[in-house]
Amino acid sequence: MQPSEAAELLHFLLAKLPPRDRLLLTLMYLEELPVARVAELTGWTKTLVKVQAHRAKAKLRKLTDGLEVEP
Amino acid sequence: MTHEKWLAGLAARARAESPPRVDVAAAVVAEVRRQRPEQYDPMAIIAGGSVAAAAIVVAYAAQMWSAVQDPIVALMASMNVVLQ
Repeated sequence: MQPSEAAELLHFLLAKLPPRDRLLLTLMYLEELPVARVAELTGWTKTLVKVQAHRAKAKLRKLTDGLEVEP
Repeated sequence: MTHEKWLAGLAARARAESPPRVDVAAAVVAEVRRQRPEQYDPMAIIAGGSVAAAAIVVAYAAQMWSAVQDPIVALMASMNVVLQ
């Protein structure tokens, strides 16, 4: 997959998430920030960041299941 | 491959995307060339007015000087005094 195609797909999927989940996944995966840094930036606790990230990834998995995107 | 690894791989590919290069130099140069240059120079107009004013002053001063230097004028002036 070309980088532009990957970016297009990823941004398409992230756009379907709520803002909070989109922010978390963008910081953690696109910006590659550690949980501690994400917590610092968002003002959340590290535990909350982990829990929210887990839920966001679950929502993303649901989206990709619906779109039939191969893992 | 787990979904998490897939997401991480997708994000890694997305980060490798480079923004498209847009060259605007040609458009800027064309616009600069299309603009017409100024038809007049304001400083040249001011300089021309100053020269004209100076020429008038010089002409008047030269006229006065020649009048002062003219001996007949002095003679006539003294005669006028005598006649009166």
